[in-house]
This record gives sequence, C-alpha cells and structure tokens, in this order.
Amino acid sequence: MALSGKPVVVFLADDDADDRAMFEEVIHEVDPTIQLTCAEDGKILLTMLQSGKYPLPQLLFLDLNMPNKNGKECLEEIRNSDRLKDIPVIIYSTSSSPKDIDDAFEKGANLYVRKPSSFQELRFIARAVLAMEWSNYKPFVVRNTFVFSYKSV
Amino acid sequence: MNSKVLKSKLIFDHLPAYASFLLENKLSECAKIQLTYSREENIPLLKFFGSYSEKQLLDLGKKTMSELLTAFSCNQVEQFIADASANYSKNNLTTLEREEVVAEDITILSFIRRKSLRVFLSTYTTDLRIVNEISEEIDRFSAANDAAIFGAFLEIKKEETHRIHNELQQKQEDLLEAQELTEMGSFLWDMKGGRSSYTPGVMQIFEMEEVSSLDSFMQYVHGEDRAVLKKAIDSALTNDGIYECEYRFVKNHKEKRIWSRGVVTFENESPVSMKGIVMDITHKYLMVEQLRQSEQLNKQAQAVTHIGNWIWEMSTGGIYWSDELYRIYGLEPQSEVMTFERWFDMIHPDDREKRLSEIKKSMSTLEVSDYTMRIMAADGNVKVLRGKGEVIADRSRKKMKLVGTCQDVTTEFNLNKELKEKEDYLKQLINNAPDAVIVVDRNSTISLWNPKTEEIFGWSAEEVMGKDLNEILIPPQNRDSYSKELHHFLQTGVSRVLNRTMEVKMLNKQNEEFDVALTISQSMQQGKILFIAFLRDITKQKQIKLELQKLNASLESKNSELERINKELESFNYVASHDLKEPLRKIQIFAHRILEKGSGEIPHATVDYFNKIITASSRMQLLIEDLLVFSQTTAGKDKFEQVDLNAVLSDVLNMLSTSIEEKKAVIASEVLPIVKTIPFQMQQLFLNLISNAIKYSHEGVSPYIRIVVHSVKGFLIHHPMAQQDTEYFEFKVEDNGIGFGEEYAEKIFELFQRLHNKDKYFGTGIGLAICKKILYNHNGFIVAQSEVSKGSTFYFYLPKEEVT
Repeated sequence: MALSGKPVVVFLADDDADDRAMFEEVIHEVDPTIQLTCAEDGKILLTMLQSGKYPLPQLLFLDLNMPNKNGKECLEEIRNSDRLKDIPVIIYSTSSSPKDIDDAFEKGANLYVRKPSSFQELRFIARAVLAMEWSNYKPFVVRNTFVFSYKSV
Repeated sequence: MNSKVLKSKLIFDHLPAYASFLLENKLSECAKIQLTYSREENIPLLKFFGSYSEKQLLDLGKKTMSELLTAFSCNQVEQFIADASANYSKNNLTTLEREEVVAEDITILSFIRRKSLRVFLSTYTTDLRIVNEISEEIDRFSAANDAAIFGAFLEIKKEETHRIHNELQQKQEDLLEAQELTEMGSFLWDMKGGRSSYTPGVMQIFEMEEVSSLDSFMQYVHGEDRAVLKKAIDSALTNDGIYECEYRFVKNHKEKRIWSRGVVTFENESPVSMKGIVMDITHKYLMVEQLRQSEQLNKQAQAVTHIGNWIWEMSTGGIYWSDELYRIYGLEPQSEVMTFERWFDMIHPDDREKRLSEIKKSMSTLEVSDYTMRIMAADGNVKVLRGKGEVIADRSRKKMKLVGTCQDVTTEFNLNKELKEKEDYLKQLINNAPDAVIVVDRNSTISLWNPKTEEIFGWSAEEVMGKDLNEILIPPQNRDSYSKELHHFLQTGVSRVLNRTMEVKMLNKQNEEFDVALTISQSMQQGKILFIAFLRDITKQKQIKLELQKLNASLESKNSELERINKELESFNYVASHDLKEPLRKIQIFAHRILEKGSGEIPHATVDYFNKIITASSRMQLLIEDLLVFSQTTAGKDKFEQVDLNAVLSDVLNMLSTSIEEKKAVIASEVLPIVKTIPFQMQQLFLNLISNAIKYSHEGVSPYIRIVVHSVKGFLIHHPMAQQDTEYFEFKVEDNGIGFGEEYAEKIFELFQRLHNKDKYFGTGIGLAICKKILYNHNGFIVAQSEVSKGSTFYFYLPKEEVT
C-alpha cells in the first residue's frame, strides 16, 4: 500500500509476450510494491476493467497495435465511461508516427511513450514515469510535453 | 240705256260732210295747225316725240287726223272712241307708255282737236246755223271722247295705284324679311308726339313687347355700356344728328351685342325724330372673336411646334417672318426687318450653296420642294430646319412670291442621327456576331438572317427572307411540335422554350440534320411580337463532349484503381511500421540484454559483433521510419490549417535540442509568417532541413544556421513550378556546413541519394526527398545552392494564398 501518491495498482495491455515480460521485470525492479496486472489485448483489458473483479488501476499502460481491440478504441471507451474516465492512460507503442501521437492526444491519453530498444532505456522510463505525480492527476495535458522523451529527463 | 242714248247722240248730221271736206281739202293744213296748237299749249306728251323730225310729226298728225275724220265721215264715232280708249287702255300708244300720260295731256289734246276742227269751218260754210250745228256736234264728240279717255285714264291710274300699293307692300314685306334675316330692325322715334314705331325685328332683337321709355330700355343695357349709349344718343341729338353705337344688351340671362345707327331730323334746330336701325351682331362678334382667338392659337401653335412661316415677295424683295421664325433664328420677334442678305448670312456656310440652288430651281419650276438646312442662330446654336413652301405667281411671273413654313427639327434630327447610329451599331453587332441570329414574326416568317446564319445553314439571306422558318430549318418530324409550341405561346403567353438554351436538331441547305444550341427570346417592335433566335452549330462540341465523357469514364475507373492501390499501400505502411519494426526492436533489445547481463563474461570480439548487430538494426529501423514518413507525406488526407511557423520552428528546435547542444549549433531566424499549410509536414520540413544543416557540419566548427523569409512574385522566380501570378514566401535556410558540388543540386532531392559515407554521416537518403514532396503537396518547390565546403543554402517557396 503506497503511503504517498505513488501508484499501487498498475495495468498493462500489450499483446507482445516479450514486452509484457520485460515490463514486469522492470516494474518489479523499480518498485516491488506495485501490483501489475497484464491484459493480452484490448478486449481482455476492458472486460477486466468493467468486470469489477479487479481494483481500478492508478495508472494504465496501453499498447496501440493489438488484436481484437486496439489501443485507440480502448482509450475511447475508457474516456467515455463514467467509471473509468479518470484513469491516467500512458500510450506505450512502437509507433513514432505523428498521426498516432496526434490521435492519442486527441482521444485523451496523458502521455505517449515509445517502446525503447534497450532494457536500460526501459528501466529509465519506468523510473521516470512512476515518479510522476499521478494521484492528483487532472485530465489536462500540454501538447509539447505529451511525448515522453528520456533524453530530456 | 245710257249708252243707247249716247249712241243716238253720236250719230251726226253735219259733221260727216264737213269731215269729208276736210279729208279732201284741208288734211295737211289741219295736221299742221294741230301741231302748232300743241306747241302753243305746250302739251306735256310732246316731249316723248323729241326724236321725231318735223315731217315725221306732221305725218303722224295727218295719220291720226285722217283716222278721226274718216270715223266722222262714216259716222262711226262711237267705234272710234271705243277703239281709241281701248288702244290707250291696252297700252298701244305710239312712242309712250300709257302710264306716262297725264291728265293735262287729255284735256289739252281735246281742246287742240276741237280748235283745229273749227278753224276751217269758215272756209266750208258761211251758214251760221250749220256752223253752230257742226260746233255742237264736235263738242258732243269731244265730251264723249274725253269721258271715254278719262274713264280709261282713271282706270289706268287706279290700276297703277293698286300696282304701286302692291309693290310697296311687297317691298315692306321684303324689308321686314331681310331685317329678320339679318337680325336687324328699324325704328322711328318720334320725340314730339311721343309716338314711336318699330319693325317687328326690333322687338325680336330686344325680346320686348314695346319700349315704353328710354329709361325702361336703358335698364337692360349692360352696366358698362350704358354711359356709352347715352353719350352717343345725346351727341346725335345735340350735335351732328348722326347716331351710332355698339353696346351689350342683357335680357333673359342672355347677352347680345347690338349695333345701332340712326339719323335725327331737326325742326327749327330742335330734334323731332330719329330714324334708324338696330342690328344683333352677337354672332358676328363671336365669329370675329373666334377668328381672333384662332389667330392667337395659330401663333401659340407656331411657338409650341416651333413652326414659323415666311413670305418672300420676289418683286419687291420684301420678306415677312412670323414671330416664331424670328425665335427659331434666335432673334427677338420682329426686332429687325428681314432681308435676303441677312437671312442668307445666317445659313450654315456648308448649306448655303445648296439652298440657293433650291431657290433658283423653285423660281423656274414654280414648285418648292421640301428642304432641310442648317442655320447658325443668333444665339450661337447650330440648328436644323425643315421647311415646305410654294410659289405664288401671276401669269407673267412678274409678281412672284414664295410662301412657306419652317420647323426647328434640331432635336428630332439629333435623335434620328443617334437612332441611326444605334441602328448601325446594332446592325454591325448582328452582322459580326459569332452566333447565327434569326428574327421571325408571329407567323414564323423570317425577317433577319445574319452572315453567320448563312455560313451555318448554307442559305443566303435573299433565299429565305419572308419564308416560313418552320419549313426551312425544322426537320419534318419536329414541325408539328414547333407549330404547337408557337401557337401555345401566342395564345397563353407561356412558353417552355423561351430564354433558355436548348440543344435541337436543325436542317441545313443540303437537308442534313445537325446539332444546334438554340436560345430564343421574345421582343416587341411597333406593337408586334418578334422572336429572336441565337443559334450555334454544336456538332463539334457534341463530339468533343462525347469523347470527354468517354475519357472521364476511363479516368474515373483509373481513379478508383488508384484509390484501391493507395489503400493497399497504406495497409502496407501499417504492416511495415509495426510488423517490420517490432522484430528489429526485439533484436536490439535482446542484443543489449545479452551485453548487459553477461558483461565481463563475453569475449571482446563477441561484444563487438553484438554492437554491430545493434547498429545495423537501428539503422534499418531508422530507414523504415523514414520510408514511412515519406510514404505518409501526402496532400490528400491532411487538412490545411493556418500554421504559425515560429511555433513549428520552436518545436523542431526543441526536438533537436540534444544535437544542438552537442554541436553548439546556433540557429538564427527572422520572424516567420503564418501560412496555411499541413502542420506535420511543416514540422517535418524544418526538422529535416535543420537537422541536415547540423549533421553536415565541419568538424570542430559550430554550425551556424540562418533562416530568412520574404515575399516574392511568381514571375521573378526562375523555376518551372513557379506560377506567374502567384505571390510566394521565399524561405532561405543557410548554413556554414560542408556543402556539396553544384552538380548535385538537383540530385540530392531524389530518394536514397546519399553523397557521403554512411559511417561518417549517418543518414538514409530520404530526408530531402521528403522535403521536396512536402513542398509539392503545398504547390511550392525547393531548390539548393552550394559549393563544396562553403556551406549550402536551401530555398523553399510556399504560395501566400494556399488553395486547398
């Protein structure tokens, strides 16, 4: 149980098993108290969120390119749901296409993180993102800080 | 009874013998003495014989004496007397009319006759008894004769009196009738006796029974004229006796105008009566008044219509002009005496000769033809006059005069001129119209056919004028509907074909159908309906249209084919972006992981190989990403927005902050404009150009990048893409880098063109191709200028008004 505003329950939706494994590893390494729940695609994620069997996450990492229900669709449904709309959503995708970034911003994502090509970078990202103040999160994002850049951190 | 006694008394005992004696012996002497006595007694009827000679008189005397004496001798006196009085009554007298006989003639003639018969008694007998007997018998004859003649005389006088009376009465009646006809009456005003008489005409004029007194008459005289009338009467009575007055008389709500004239008779210098006439001159007065008014009207009419008239007496040279004619010439009416010279001087110099020859011609032909001339009026205006006239001449042509009228037609003339010019202009327009123009009337009879129509249909204007358009130009199968449509419009005023352009089939002279674009409009001229048709041969256009339609259809199918291909490409992009990048990323991440976990255990050479795997795969990743950007750089999908390029630049600098810091690069930019563009593409453009400038810098030298912008007109730019009329923003991105050879200025914008070794300058050869494509999407273009090691300058142009 986190004493401060640090997230305790974190969700990850990603169809890539390697990425899920590495993500779990890095989260465990950065903060072992975090309860990480993984979903294998968008559809599973939403079912889990809507079932009520799981505590709602304080932070959700969302891949864009997933089978069954992609990340953008999930984001849209979450933002349109009274119960889920306040969950902070971090896009976690390989895409660096401006269009994807822009769409995500428009649909109400809070941060856009490109999947790194080294574990070192991943660790770095996890630390930085989890250190951010998410408990007092307000659905207001500034466009030029929307894309997370580990160089600037 | 009486005549019987008289008869017996006129049988004479001695007279026949004495008469016979005289007949035989003294006839000439007797006639002679009778003439002598007639002269002595100065018998009045003698004057009727003034033209007779002495012998003629004596012969006449002998003849009458012989007749008398013969009657005596035969004792037929009674018959003689009857014959003589009958002769007289029947007016069978010699040389004079019976009415000319006066009573004296009868008594003196009787006396002379008796005296003459007695003269020769002494020579016939000396027996006093017989002388007495004969004298008595002569007296008896004379008494009977005188009685008979006087009887006839009286009868004649009676007849004459009667006749005269009748005549008088007739004259009186004629007079009254005349008076009535002339609305005239006569009066006699007796001042002494107070008795006055009037003809009925007077009472009729004054509409009165009688005139009791002058004062009672005066009350009907118009108030304004009473004093005048009174004065006229007083003046006649006291002065010259002549009375004449015109006055108004008002009775029964009628006003009459009376003219009266009279003469006063004086006795002992005091007036006793006045005779005179009165006349109702109301009608005459009105007629005169009307005449005066019509003259006035004529004057006004002249002024209104600007018609003046003139008379030119050729014999005297005198010229009369009406007031209006003076005004036409800009002169005060009758302000000067008009002369030929003065008039001729006012004629426009160009028209003088013509007018002069016209006048000369008029004088020889005695006819004035209508003429038109210009004058220079005294007020300085040039006017156009039109005139008519005639020559009035006597037989000798000595007293010749020209009379005529003259009208100022300047306005009309100018209007006509203007109208004619307009007409000419219209004609010109129709004749040179690029379209065929046909005008038809309500019966579809052709009344206009311009040259272009001749060209299109092959018929000349002469061939079709006055003919039915329906029969000439309309294909037989359409004639019925043409007539119906025309009829329908004429009946209802509603048409489905007027004022819109239709495509119809028509016939040319060769009877071939062809396609025509037809527009009909309706117009009125002088109250008659006209239809104006504009036609254009559209055979060619129709063919072109058909071809175009085919072309369009094939284009459309090609388009949809292209769209399909595009979609395939897009999905390929998507596959490329994820499915190609993911394995690469995995290669990298696990290669890193191996090096990280097994640090110190792995031999150096192996570490080196792993690093090469990482480098190669990351270059491939970059290549894929650049290719994706390139293929996604399209104009179609993204929306143009007003983009503040200053914000774009600052974003880009932010993105490049690491390398800027690393290379200590300086980027200086002018204030950039807001341009309607695709935001991402602008970012990409600036990113590529600036990152290139930083990348291709001299080692050890800080990159210096300068961005300058200004406006430039299209026609000033030497580039095949530059639009002459468009105004462009010219952006200049200048650096102090390694540059490149001028020969590569165009090549560098091609895909995968790299000028440098990838180990020295890491790149994919796609960046500038993307830039070129972005500018192409914006109707702009990009060029480069450089020299090896002297830096390069990129110019790119964006239209100021981007049309989406």
